[in-house]
Amino acid sequence: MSQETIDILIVDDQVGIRRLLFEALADEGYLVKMAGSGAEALKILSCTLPALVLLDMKMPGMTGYETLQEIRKHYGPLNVIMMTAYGDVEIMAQTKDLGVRHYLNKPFDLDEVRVLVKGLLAEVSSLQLFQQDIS
Amino acid sequence: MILLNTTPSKGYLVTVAITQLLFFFMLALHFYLRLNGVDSVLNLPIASMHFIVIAILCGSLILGIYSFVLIYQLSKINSLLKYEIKERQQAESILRQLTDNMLDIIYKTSLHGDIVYISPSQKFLLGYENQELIDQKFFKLLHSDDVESVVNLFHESIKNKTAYRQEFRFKCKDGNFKWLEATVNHLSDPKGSVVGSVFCCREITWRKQLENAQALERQRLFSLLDSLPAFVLLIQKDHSIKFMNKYFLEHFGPFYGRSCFEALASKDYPCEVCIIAEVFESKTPKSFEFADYKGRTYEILAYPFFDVDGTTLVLELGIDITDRKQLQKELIRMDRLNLIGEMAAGIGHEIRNPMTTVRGFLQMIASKEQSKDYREYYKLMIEELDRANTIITEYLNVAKTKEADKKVQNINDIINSILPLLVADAIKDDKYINVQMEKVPNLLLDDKEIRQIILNLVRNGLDAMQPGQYLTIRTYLENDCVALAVQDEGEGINPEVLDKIGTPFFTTKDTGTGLGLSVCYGIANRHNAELTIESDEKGTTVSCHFKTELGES
Repeated sequence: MSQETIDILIVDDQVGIRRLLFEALADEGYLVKMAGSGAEALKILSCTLPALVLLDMKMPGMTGYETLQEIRKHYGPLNVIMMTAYGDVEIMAQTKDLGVRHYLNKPFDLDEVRVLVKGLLAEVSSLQLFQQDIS
Repeated sequence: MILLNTTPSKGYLVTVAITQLLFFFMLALHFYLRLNGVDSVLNLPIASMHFIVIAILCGSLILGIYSFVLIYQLSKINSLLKYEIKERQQAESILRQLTDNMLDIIYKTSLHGDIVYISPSQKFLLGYENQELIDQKFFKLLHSDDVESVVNLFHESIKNKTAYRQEFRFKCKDGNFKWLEATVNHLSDPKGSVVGSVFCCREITWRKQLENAQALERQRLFSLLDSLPAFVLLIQKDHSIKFMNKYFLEHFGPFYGRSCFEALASKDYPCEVCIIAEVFESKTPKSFEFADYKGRTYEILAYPFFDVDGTTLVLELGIDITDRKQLQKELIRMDRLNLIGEMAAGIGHEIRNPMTTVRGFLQMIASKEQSKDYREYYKLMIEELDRANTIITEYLNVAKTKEADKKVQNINDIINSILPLLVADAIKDDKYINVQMEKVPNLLLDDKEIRQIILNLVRNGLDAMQPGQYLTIRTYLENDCVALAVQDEGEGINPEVLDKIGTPFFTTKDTGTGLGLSVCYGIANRHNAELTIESDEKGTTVSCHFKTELGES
């Protein structure tokens, strides 16, 4: 975890959403990277591991769910927030099984995103501190 | 008849023989006396003797001739007799052949009913030897159910000296009974006094079987007509009913001979939709839909029907299609909802994504220092976007194809959880909410959806009421169902409007989307519940009946 260079990876095929989240979260001082597809996201992840991934559910090509499966296979318990425009119960239940705890229903409130991201990253950093303490 | 007696002819023959003998004896005596020259015999002079002999000879000759005449006549009579006897024998044999070979049975009985004669054909039909039946009581061989009637007729025929016909069962040798049809008549002796009775019987078992089969077939046809789940009518040209089946009788009553419009429509003139006149004219089948005076809809098929006497009637077959129509309506509604759901799901994603971007950037700009003078506008824009999003959410809710997130819970708890919100809504417009909740079993419910249905129904009810009026939310058990009812004190729903209610986008409100009740129908459907609306000028009650099995499974 020590060689990480970014805090958050945004994965969405919609350029507007990517841009919005980038601006909003970069303003908060996080290091943010963007990916326009699941494949691109996995490529970035292979180089650098963020503390949090914001992953859109419905994307052309590799879907959010498939991307999530790959992430779990290669990177274990990475923090993932799923974003959906449907609020689809069934897919949500599936991703829940893959350890996703947080969802953002589009259109989301930016303040809500900020609070959620801040909370999760604080959790991650406290965990890191705890792990460092142990080591 | 006397000629048949042979004794006198024997007498004649003896007389003839004696006369012949006497004649020859006298002839011999005459020649003897002549040849021997005897002068006196028995002290009579020979001349006298000759005279006597000649007299006797003459007498004998006359007698002889007479006898020959007699013998000739007798032989003639005899040959006639022989011919007659032969004829009789032939007739007798023909008669015997007839009685022996005919299939009908002839019984002769005494006045007491004892069998004194029976034709041999009985053996073929009944299996007895003739001597087994002779002297038996005729009535003892009958089926116990038939004895009385046959005995009565037997006595009647003897008393009145007339013939009667009767059908009865006769016991065969193997113990089975055969149906016989008999003509019973009295039997008299030559003097005319009744000596017994004669039964001419013919087997009719096959005919009886045929009759029974026909009766059975007839009965089957009738029970078929009676068990049809549709009414069957035969109607005459003047609309009067000639035949009705049980279904019609049970649903409309015994209107025999009265008109169909009186029975079905409770009218005193023919119905506008009636086409039986056309059927009478064109002699081709026609069908039409018809609503009876009780409000049930029938599909009526009218066929030309030719009665046994040749008159033309109309056969009407009426099938109750009320439920089917209701179901069809329901299906159309569901299809519409599904279509909307699919459309909403399809475009929802595409609209929400750009909406997210727009909303997000508006929010971002609004928070910037430079735009503080326009903050109100940004806020308004964001609210409008949220309103647009609510509409999309409603569309999506109309027909969720996915299974709802159901848990076993009590509907009363869900009502209690949402009640403060509802009361607040009502108070705002000076309206009141009554809650009457009975203890009801738990059900398998999606609490979000049930909250939605309650909210939609209550808001509809509140919108229909004037300030100061009460809205009642009730839960109760009815026919194995948990019912949720929302009753308002509004003006009720116009019947034309009532028909369109639940149709997506149909609304009477200025700002309504026309989706509220559609959503309710969708939710009810996903909960296997039934939504019903009753409305009159005193208000409207919308009830949702949930089947209780859901909670137990």
